[in-house]
Amino acid sequence: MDFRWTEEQELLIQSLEELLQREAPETLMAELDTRHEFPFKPWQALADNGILALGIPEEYGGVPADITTLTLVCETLGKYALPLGIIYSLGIITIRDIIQFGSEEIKAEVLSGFVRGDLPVALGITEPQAGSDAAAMKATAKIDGEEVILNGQKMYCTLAKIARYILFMTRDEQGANPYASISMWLLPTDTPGLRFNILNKVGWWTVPTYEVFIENARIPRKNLVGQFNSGWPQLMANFEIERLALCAASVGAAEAALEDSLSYANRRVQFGNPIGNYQAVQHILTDMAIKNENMRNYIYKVAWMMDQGQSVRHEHAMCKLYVARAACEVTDAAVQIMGGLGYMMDHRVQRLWRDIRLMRIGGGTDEIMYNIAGPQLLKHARKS
Amino acid sequence: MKIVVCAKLAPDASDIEVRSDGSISLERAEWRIGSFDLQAIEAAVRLRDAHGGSVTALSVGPQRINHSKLRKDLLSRGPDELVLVAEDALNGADTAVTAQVLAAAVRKIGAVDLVLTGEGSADLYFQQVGLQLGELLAVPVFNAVSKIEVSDSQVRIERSLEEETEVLELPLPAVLAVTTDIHTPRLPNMKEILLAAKKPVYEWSLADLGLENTPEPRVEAVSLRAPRPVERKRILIEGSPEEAAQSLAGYLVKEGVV
Amino acid sequence: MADDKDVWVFSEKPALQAELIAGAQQLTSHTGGQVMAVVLGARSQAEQALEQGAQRVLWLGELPSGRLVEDIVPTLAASVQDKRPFGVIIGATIRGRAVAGRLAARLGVAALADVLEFQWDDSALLARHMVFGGGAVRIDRPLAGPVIATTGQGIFEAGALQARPKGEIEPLSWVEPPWQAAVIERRSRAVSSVNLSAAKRVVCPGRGVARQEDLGLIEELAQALSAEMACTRPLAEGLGWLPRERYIGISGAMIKPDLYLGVGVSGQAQHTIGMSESRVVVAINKDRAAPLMTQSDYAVEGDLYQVVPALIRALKARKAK
Repeated sequence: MDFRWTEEQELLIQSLEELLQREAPETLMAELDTRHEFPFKPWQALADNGILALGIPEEYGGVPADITTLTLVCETLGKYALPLGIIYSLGIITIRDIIQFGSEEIKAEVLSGFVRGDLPVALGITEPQAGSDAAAMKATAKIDGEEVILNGQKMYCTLAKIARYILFMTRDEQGANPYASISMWLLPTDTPGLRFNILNKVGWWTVPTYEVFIENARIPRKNLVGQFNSGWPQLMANFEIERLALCAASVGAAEAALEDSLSYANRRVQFGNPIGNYQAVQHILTDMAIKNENMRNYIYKVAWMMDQGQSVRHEHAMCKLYVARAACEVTDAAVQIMGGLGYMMDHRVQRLWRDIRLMRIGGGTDEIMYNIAGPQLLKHARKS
Repeated sequence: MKIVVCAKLAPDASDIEVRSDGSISLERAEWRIGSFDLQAIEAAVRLRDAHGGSVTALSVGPQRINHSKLRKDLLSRGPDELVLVAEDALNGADTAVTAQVLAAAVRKIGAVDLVLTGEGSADLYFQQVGLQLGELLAVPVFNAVSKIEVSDSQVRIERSLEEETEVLELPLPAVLAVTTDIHTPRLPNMKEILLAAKKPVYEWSLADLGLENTPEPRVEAVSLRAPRPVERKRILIEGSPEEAAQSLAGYLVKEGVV
Repeated sequence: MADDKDVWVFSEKPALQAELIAGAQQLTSHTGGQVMAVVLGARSQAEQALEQGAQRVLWLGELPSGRLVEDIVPTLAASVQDKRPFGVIIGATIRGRAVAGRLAARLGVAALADVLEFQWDDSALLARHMVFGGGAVRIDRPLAGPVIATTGQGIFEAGALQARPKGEIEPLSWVEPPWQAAVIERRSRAVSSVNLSAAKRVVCPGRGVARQEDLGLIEELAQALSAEMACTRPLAEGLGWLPRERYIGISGAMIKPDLYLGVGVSGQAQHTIGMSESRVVVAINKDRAAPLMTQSDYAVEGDLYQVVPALIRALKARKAK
């Protein structure tokens, strides 16, 4: 077993760390958060330095990268500038769907744009009545000659208004099996008939989330991504890597929280001693460090399995469930260690704490992760 | 145009460990490309991109510098090839020895139009080697070069001196030590990192350079220790901004500095 | 005047030359030779060197037009080989460094750069300087002569001027350099030029200052203190908020003011090497564990955006009284 990174990975991450310190310093990220502003400049810097090219096919300006390398990138983004890690992770699912299922024309347009610094394609799946239950989806696509007329309403559609495209999921009402009745469309966000309503969130202030109303939006029929009525399996094909990416960004955030806590514990003096001298505080810090180590090992293992072409059907769900919860615990402990200061808006840990909380919900809730993992574990046991 | 860029690979100063007796350990320090040399590499690569030709990175030092990650790191920043003279006889080499080995290597590379160096090495920062190298090669040599324009067999440079900017024209070949603000060094991306492994690396021994004996050192380092900290009063002023400001202003008056 | 005993000094800056003469005197008190100044300039400058304490001047006359100070290298090398001094101390300006490096190469020695102090170990000369970005002190012993060393401003204290100096001025003739750079243009950088090393009080913002606009506040503080404004390296080089001449530390300015006030400066060794000999050090930082906070006389823990305006008010109020 070799826990070392490759030299290429070390050099890439070293370069990325320097880039983030240069282009996305904590002062800037804090300021953007206060102003609820998207980190356009840091995002463009990621493109300019080839980070967004990673894992994109070379014909569209990309550079080969395995899943382990992408995981390290997400972790580093999460540690230095969590919003960038979040945006990147959200993009992984839509961008990979386009790589896998998009037409040549769609790939050339979307992938080349992404490499140059376009925002990722937003994902339009959740609806007021349909979250993880695809059968309840109501958005429709009506074919009209060479065009398609889209209608519906999507909830929690992150980046929708500022991205160039939404990967828009519709339900064919004729289909009996809901999972074989969903289609995936590339919907330009400047299409007439779209209306956006920004949603106020507890965290993720620099990464805006919208409610989108789609009323008779006409797009070319060739904007279908993949096969008609195959949208659900297509989407599922890349949920695993999206969850892994979100996990990696969360691990980075937990590492940042631990760093802040350690430095605070070393310098905050109470009753004549730095608080780090007290065992009660040392126990919290040690538990945080153990969780970080476990989280890191878990994501690297899942990434490695995926790179080996192994199935991670239940492993990825267990990993997501563990990491989302452990990262919440670690950021919460960081707030606790810092006491009153931890709860103040001018320190980073409150932001990590608010931003990380969504990891137990977004990309599939904890409860859905149980639903995925549990039956798979039982099935495996029956087989053996 | 054939450009050679010299870079020192040395332990990272921020990894220095100070032992309790004040002595210093560099055993655990990570070796890196000198931070001031990155600007020279950037300048060399930009000149090549503008005028064509090639950039050869050159580094001399102990065996330790012949490390595949360091080689890739150097080459991922744009040079076309790398020449290493890595022998333990060069461990802790003084500026005179370093300059002599570099000069021999530049001669062996041959037909070099321009040699660039950083302002100084990241570890010692004596700012000497480039100047000595130019003199040994008997070609025009200048330090503090903040701009380089090449035309035909001439080069026009700007030097940022303490109180003035000086524009000079000199014939090539020449050796130029660039300032730290000549360019912001690029950060290597994955494409360049992957490409770096495929670029040629030439490992030359001192014997290959015609230096049968290691050049005689001219300076011996007698001791290396942590600096003695200056004794300070270490008075911590807390409280509201108004209170702290009043208190500090009082101290400054007492010290006779306002 | 015997071989290997005299110590020469050379600097194109007369003020620095005076300090080098004082440094050379420390050496000749041990070697038993004379302090000699190599002067490139008007006769009055040669006389000035004698007043500054040189016992003899090697005078080259004024720099011929179109020539550079650096062109002195072949002349210096020939004279050193001819007259065999113990060593040459050269002022560590940019031009001085160029002269020293090239001279050392011609003479087959290694120059001792940025010497902070000379010491003697019996008959062996030792030179102390900072390495590793201020993280370590190294003591070097030259193994071969002549000793070529560079020393910056503020290391040796110039002695009092002598009213009627006795030394001789010996003319020295130019040795033609083998190559010549054409001087196209010289632009004074007076606008941004600042002599930080002469400032009595220095205010230095660091990365704790979030935006370039906020420098106005720091400048206001500098005015209230009648201080010069300096900065840390990232503010000058990474961010470009202030001219390069204003940053303190390795490769930047080395200062010894009466008051150094760091605002939002963490205090990396690369910076503190340039200010550690200030008489009074004050740090304002919200992080009390920042290295500079623990290496200062007065450490104010607080938000600079609140403390600095309060300090400006307090200083102005005191002035008004």
